[in-house]
Amino acid sequence: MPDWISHILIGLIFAEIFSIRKKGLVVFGSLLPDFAVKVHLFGAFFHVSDKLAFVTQLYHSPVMGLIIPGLAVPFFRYDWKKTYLFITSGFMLHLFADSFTRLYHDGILLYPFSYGYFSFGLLWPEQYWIVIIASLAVYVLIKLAKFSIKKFDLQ
Amino acid sequence: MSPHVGQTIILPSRGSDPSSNLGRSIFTYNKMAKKLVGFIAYTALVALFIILSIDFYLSREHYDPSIDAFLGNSEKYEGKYSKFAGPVINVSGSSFYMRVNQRPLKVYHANLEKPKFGQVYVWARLNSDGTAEAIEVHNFSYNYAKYFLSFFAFILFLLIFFREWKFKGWRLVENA
Repeated sequence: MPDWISHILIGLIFAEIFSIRKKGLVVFGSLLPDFAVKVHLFGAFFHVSDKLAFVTQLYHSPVMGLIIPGLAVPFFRYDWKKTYLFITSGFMLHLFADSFTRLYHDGILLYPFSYGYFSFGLLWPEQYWIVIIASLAVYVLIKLAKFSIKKFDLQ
Repeated sequence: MSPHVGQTIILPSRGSDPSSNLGRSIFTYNKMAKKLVGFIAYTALVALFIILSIDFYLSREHYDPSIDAFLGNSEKYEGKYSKFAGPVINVSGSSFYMRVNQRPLKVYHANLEKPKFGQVYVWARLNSDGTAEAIEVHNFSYNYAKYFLSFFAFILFLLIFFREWKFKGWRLVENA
């Protein structure tokens, strides 16, 4: 899976393309799937229950991408439809970005209809730098394009 | 007759209409009804979240066994396959020891090159004696750097997020 810088950049790219003013919500959604799943990283320091680590995999699935943002919505005093849409967009973008990486825990795409894992399997986790460079390049290009259009409009 | 939920109500103006108290009551009623619908929907969502989590937990048999489960009863999982990752402890000619979730595991694989600043990924067939026969091995060299980067990314996230939002009680409101 890509690192969090890539996930943030992908969220920001999406927000720039669709001119979303509340970029923070998209970025929040784009990190949300990892907040629970990363519990397995504590295994580097102490033993983590394999049952707990197993259940957290579910929070990396599209069905939870529809439920978890709904649970977060009441914490925001803002238009609930927009809040839900922006957080969900970020969440789904995270899953999409992760699906390019080959992992020992691939995404559970069709749960609860299927228990199968899914991944395009194009990159290994240590090749995260490819995603960083690509997403950074796209983000800079979009920013430059927007800046040029704005400058052109002013003239 | 009391109004039903969703009914359009024209609020009388406070000063001119003597029935303004009634108007305010109806307005409060509608507001409370909306809150009740929101509460029911949220409770249903929480219930769905819990039900799916329990269902997924109970579906563990559909997935590869964890190394914890395997090391607890290796004979039960003989011949099954599992994928896992962890740091390499030591390497010998035909096998190596790695740590998976703080538990050492012997994996049969010839001439492993120890990963640099990262873990090793293994897809293996499990043996009854608590060891594993590697089918595929891959080094996640320099993968730990990703976690350092992600730490700084979290700070970046906080900056982006709290530039737009601030806490007011238990909720987040727009940062003016």
